[in-house]
Amino acid sequence: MSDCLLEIRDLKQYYPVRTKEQRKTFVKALDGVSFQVKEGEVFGIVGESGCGKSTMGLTICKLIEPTSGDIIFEGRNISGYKRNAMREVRKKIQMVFQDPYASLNPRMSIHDIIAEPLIIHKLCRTTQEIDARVLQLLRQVGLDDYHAKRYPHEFSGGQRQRVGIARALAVEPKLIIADEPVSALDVSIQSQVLNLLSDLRKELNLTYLFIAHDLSVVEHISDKVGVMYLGNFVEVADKYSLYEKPLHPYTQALLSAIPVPDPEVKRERIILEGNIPSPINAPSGCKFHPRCRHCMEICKQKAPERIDVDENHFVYCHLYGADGKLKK
Amino acid sequence: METKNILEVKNLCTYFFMDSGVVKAVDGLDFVLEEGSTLGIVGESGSGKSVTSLAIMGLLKGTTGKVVEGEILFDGRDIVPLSEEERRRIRGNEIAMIFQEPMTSLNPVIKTGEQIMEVIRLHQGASREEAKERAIQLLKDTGLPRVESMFDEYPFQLSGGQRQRVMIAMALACNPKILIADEPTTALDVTIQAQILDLMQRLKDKVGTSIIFITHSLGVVAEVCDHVLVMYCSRSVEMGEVKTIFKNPAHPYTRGLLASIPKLGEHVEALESIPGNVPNPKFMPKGCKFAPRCKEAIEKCSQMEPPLFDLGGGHKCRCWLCEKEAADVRSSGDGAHGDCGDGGGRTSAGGGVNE
Repeated sequence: MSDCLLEIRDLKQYYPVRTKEQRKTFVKALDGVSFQVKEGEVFGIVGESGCGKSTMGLTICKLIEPTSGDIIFEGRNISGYKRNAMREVRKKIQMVFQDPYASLNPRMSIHDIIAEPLIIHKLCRTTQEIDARVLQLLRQVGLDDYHAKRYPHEFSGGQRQRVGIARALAVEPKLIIADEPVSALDVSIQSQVLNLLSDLRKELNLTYLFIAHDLSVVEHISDKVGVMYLGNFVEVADKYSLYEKPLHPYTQALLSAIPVPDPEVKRERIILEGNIPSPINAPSGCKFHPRCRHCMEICKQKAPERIDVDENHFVYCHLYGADGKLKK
Repeated sequence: METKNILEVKNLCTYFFMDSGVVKAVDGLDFVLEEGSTLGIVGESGSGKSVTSLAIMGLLKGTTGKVVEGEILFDGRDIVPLSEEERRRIRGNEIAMIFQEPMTSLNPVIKTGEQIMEVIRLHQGASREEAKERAIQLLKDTGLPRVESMFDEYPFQLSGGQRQRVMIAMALACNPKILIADEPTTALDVTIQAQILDLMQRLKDKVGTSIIFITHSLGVVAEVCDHVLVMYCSRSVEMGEVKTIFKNPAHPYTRGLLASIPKLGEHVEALESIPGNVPNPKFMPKGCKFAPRCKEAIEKCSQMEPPLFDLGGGHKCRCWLCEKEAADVRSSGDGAHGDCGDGGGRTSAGGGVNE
């Protein structure tokens, strides 16, 4: 497909660990993930802590080397790229991190933080050029000129996140990987930052990989949503079909667990039993089977295949036949 | 039937005295907690919700904070002037608390079971055996698996949800009359949050505890609370029954908060948002604290702080825009029991129907 900006094929990320029982074993943070992101699209990734969503962001950006698999960005397979080659690619892929308190160097002024990528990538020749560009970026994210001289500690969480966004925008990237960009912010500030991200996307024709645990936030901003559980997607669909007719039992449980801000709505909540199992000894077969309400014998033995329900909706679950219909 | 108020907070002022000046963390707060009900306190970081709970628990000792004014009536008795010794008898026994971060609120070097037994032995003078039996029962009530082996494990060996269950077991060990839950589910995943909310609801029905639920999630409030108190910059801006607040929010801040959360199944281009930031507590605006961010502010707002207007049925709102409505309510005699309490006046978050 021509308009496909990012394609991930069978991406694996194994972290070596030692346990009491085994000297050498692995945490399978990503266990063969495949998906595509089209240009101009917002692809949301949701899942609970430990499901591998942050690892996904870091691996695509190659801040950690993938164990195996292909990352194809703009038609080039960047999974084998070394440092120098990656530097070129990072002009196109930028990240916005979760914690705006930890992701800005406290000893650098806002000007220096935003100017750093401009200098590293040699995008501006003179000091005047840099200053002008920094001010332009600050205005673009809704900050004022006088903020440039200040330091991160003088800012509130929302303002810091704006600085983080300005820094990412400095190199005019095509793809922004935003890892929980609003989860550390207060409700009233959260919507400001979400609106900013939406506006920038339209203005600059950006593509986002938006990682979050909050399903309502992801629904608001994304075009397509992937639900992860223990290192794999369990369901991927455009947001309308995912939220209106979730197919995977895990997606259904996640959606029903979100508290609705309306006291008159009393829904039947699906309470999942137990916790996410340790990714070191992930359950056999379908990884979700120990917590699943519809667990069958086959689920314990065989990992489900990808089932395409329609063009934009696929699910990994034994409940559905190859034709995408619910088995009886 | 008259409902009893298990807790009444009147004109509570808690200030922090720092080298750089005085920070008024809670400034003239009034609310009541009805027996057997759940009161939600919502607000953004720095609005004073947690400090309120610490003041009720008497846990400000050792900080620069102090309750400088006001009363906290627990079961009709003011507990502010009590000695540390007397406070300790209440704390953990009759008023218990669950904290936000279950990792930092459990002692990492004491076994989980031991920590629960401590509460029981301290407050009920039980023997080791009795305490152990009761602790195991409590852990079982919270739905934890393999309780016996967990009893001898350390907090780091448990997951976040399990730790929060241990905290709940510990808080309920003495069948407290009031349980203060300070963001009990914020650090947890949604599916675990659903488990914990469900558990709290079940245990509340069983023990008959009244709950103060502090949170910034309006979704959680809608699900578990009977009454809500919205705080902004150290003060209450609106209070009332959950249904009223969510259906007819009167204060522009409450309306802004409700509008700014993305809702499932609703597709909008841009979210409503409240512009600006929470003001620095050292440079509070004159007049209404919310005026600089308020879209509906009128001239009066930046000059004089509005009192808490009574809108009838226990619904109160600190906003000049409600002045007329409150006057109508008063003249019609609907909310006759409450004069529009001006800061120090008696106000009640709950029912308010005193027939």
